[in-house]
Amino acid sequence: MAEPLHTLTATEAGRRLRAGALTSEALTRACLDRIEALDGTHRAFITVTADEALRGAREADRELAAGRDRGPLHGIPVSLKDLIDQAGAPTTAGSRVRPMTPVDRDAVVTARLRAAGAVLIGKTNLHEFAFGTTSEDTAFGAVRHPLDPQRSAGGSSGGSAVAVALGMSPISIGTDTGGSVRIPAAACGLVGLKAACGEIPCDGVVPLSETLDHVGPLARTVADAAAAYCILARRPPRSPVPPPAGSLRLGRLTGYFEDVLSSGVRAAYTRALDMLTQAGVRIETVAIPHASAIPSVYLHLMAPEAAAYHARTLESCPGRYTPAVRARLEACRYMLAEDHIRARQGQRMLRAEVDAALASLDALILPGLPIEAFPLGSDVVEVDGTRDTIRNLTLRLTQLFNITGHPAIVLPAGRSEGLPVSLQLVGHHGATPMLLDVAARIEAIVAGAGGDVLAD
Amino acid sequence: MNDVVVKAWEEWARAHLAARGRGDAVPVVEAFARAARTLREADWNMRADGSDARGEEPERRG
Repeated sequence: MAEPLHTLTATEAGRRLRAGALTSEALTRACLDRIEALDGTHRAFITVTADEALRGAREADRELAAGRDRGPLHGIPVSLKDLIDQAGAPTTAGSRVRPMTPVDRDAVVTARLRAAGAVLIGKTNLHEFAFGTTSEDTAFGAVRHPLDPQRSAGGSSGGSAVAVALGMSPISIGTDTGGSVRIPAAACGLVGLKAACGEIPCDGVVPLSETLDHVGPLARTVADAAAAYCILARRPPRSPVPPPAGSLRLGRLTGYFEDVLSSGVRAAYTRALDMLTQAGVRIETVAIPHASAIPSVYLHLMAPEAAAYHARTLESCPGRYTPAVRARLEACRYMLAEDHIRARQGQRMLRAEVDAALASLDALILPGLPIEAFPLGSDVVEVDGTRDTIRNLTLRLTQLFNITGHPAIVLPAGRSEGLPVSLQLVGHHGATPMLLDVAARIEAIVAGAGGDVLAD
Repeated sequence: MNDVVVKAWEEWARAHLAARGRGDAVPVVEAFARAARTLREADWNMRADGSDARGEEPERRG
């Protein structure tokens, strides 16, 4: 029996659209049906633009039938994190602070997707103003994990991750300031890409920290993420070309990056490394000398920028924020300028250290998340004898690459107690396509470990 | 070495937040103060290989 349409990857759906074996309208209706059936529980969407999506799908079908092919996402449903402007729909940022009135212009990335023929299916739920990693502090109800609704899907692009993991849209576009694409992708068994800083424009996206913000895709495969990346970065379409495993040299980040891992993540990560080694990938250990200062550098870069953006509304309508986000933003207004400058020194140093670690290697490798998806309502957990907040733990392995701007990608690498575990790969500046090539090879090697929720 | 500055800042931030009716943000300030101390204690005068780089621009230390 043919597989249900909502389980198709964007790449496979595109192949069938071009072969005349599938219509965009049928694919879009299948995604809308999934939203209708599951979103009451999982709260992945804030706004569903069904009418616009169906109009766009019919237009894509007409164009493809007439021989006009706009590229790999032509006719493919794509959802947008509700921090990204889509003309005709409100941009809520997951908050009651912003008006529910439609915006009149597309963000640059939205316009690029539209021009590429993507079918814009709706705006996804998120941690309010992207200022959190659980997607439970939102004016639209906590986002719930695709495998267990009592758990967090991660964040802040939690709705985007659930939308992709449950077949509501094969691709979703999120944002990543400290890991907000990669964290939910890791928690939900997906691929999540943060390209290099500056590659994908943030115009028309509600900012958290202009220095650290990135836009990036969540998808089920590296090939799908690569298709979206090429459109978002306005590069010619290019499918990843996986290099032979025996030619790959990876740097395994140790110390800080492996000190705090749940036993399940540690076991799955070790298994994945073994699979890579057995396939012929050469792995050596590397270190980042200033790693212990990463969270402090991140905080002192991000906080003043977040505070500046929110200062006016923190005075005019503080009660409209969710309490936890408002409290953190209030504290962000109290930072010493000299510490911000010190953090910028730290940023330059950390960038140099990541460059040095990568110098003779194809990519760095580390886990994407140190813990499995956690129960909603969790605040502090104990991992490896260390008690820390969920926020600190979830950001621990991702935020460095927002500080340094290196491209980074997470991909599924097995399960722990039934929940997804991920690998993270970090590439050279200016070489995101090469990182995608490496990721495609690693994906092929560890695919047997499982992780894709829709493949269950 | 700079703790006196962080301590004074922390006390001022607590008092100011309380005066503005935002006392629930005080625990966050305490966490931020810990981060500030970590930032100040880090040796940013070290090359990536651990050797001394005082007086050099950070971009040249890799």
